[in-house]
Amino acid sequence: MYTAKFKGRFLPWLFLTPTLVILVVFLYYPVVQTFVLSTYRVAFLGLRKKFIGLDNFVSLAQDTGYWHTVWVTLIITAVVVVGGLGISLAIAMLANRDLRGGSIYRVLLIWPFALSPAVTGVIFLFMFSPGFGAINYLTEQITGSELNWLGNPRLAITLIILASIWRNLGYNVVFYLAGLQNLNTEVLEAASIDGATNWQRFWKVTFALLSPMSFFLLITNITYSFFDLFGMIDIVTKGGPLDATNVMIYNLYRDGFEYYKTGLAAAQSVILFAVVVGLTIIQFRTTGTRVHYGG
Amino acid sequence: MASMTASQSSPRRKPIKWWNIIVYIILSVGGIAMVLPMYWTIAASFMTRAEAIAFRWFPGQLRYENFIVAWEQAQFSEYFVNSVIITTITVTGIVLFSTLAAYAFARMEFKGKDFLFSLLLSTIFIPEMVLLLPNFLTVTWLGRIGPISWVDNWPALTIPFMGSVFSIFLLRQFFAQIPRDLFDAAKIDGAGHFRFLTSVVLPLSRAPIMTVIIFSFIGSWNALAWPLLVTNSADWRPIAVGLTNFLDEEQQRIHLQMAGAVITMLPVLLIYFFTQKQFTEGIALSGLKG
Repeated sequence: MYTAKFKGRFLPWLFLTPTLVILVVFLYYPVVQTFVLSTYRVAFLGLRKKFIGLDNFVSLAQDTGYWHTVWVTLIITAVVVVGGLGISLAIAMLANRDLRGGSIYRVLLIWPFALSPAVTGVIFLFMFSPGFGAINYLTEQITGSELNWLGNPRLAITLIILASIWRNLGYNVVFYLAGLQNLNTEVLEAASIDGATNWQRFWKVTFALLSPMSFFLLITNITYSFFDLFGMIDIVTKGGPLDATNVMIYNLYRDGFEYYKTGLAAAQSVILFAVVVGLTIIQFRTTGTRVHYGG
Repeated sequence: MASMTASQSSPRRKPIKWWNIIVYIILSVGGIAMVLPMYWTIAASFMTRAEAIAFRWFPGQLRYENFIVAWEQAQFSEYFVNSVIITTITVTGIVLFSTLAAYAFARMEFKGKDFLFSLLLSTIFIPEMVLLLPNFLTVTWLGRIGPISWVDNWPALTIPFMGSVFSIFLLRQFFAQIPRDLFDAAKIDGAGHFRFLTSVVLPLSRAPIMTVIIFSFIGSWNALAWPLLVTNSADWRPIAVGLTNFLDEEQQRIHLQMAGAVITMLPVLLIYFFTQKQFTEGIALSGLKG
């Protein structure tokens, strides 16, 4: 009896041990360690360090280069979110009818989501390469002169944005289609009877009812733009030209592992943490605990 | 759903067939835009170098040898095997550990359960990218004090990924829905937690476990930043890192680069096409994760 009880008390922890050990070592400890490192000037990858308080944050705040990376990240995020979600909603609205081949269409749309950002980068690099890229060739035919997609800062940002929208489009459309199919059509019909124009019906009914879905996609697309762009940027532009595509996460990686400014990179991680915490709080507030415990 | 689509194509809408044609055209243009990048990549992987750099829609003839050259000369055979090993270990670890943890959260009573589960959930959004630095310091340190090296070896490439909060959450939600009667019946038959898990819960949970396998496979196969950091030789370099190195080394041989890209994405695409329904449903499930 005693052994059974002991076993009963002991067993859950046995089941949890592998996960908890890994999470403590590779998730919780590094979170704490990031905050600690951000207050040090670190040399030789942690072998020598000096406490400097908030100096790393002060140097970041005074560094126009860092503000530039923040700005670039915000621009890319804004366009990927607004442009990407807008196009996705439009496609979902058009595809939300009894069309032939609808399921094949969905398959065609969503597959890029399975690709790594790195492979997406390779594909887009190939299409936009000066001299031989297909898009490069087509834009030359249309505009008459060759566009330097990788050498012109604005075009390089456009390229990264296009690749990101392309990769996330199918994912967004699948969610919007699910949302549209669950809409209460009675509300739309009631609005028509009340004399609402198509335009009003869209904004005041459809768009309003879809807002929880838009909200979820907003968060996933922001997360993508802030944290998942590393692979694509490393392959396509390496942050250039002239730091035009040097987003925060890429700058962090280079400061940490190419220039070995460990403390400074940790401070940048802390700043990105604030973004994660913000998104997490918003997400939990809006969906509530219902989703988590309701099963 | 069916009744809804039926009411949309009700008789009074019939005259406006034009609108349907326009919709088809717009959707087709969108569909082509989604597929063209893939088409160009695959087409170029079958071309000669001259064809690949001179914008052609079709290869003159299908040059399968590009794949052989990339596979052999560009060390893709080695990278591919590395990725298979790394992915197999990672996926096995995630499925095993997440199943155990999810079962504990769904079916066992212990002190601090709710607190622990909330703690886990609150970290579900933390991306690995912001933890690269301290984790890199940790794995070098573990290699120094431990019996085997972690850097440029399988532990650093696999173990850190085995604590998957998303997988635990997904499985827990499913395990919690299994009727309690089944558990009580098993208990009367003298089965403990472990036998209940292996003989009742797991056979019922094929779908969510498949979702966990698909997503951890894709995540592990596609990982780039971390493997880039913790590998420094071809011995353990996964294919995603191999591809980026290949791009840097072989800037001229575009056709081989594309063959390399196709080899790299092939396993993920195969998984996607064979598990399409599961994949799409899994994405919908992941939507509930927050």
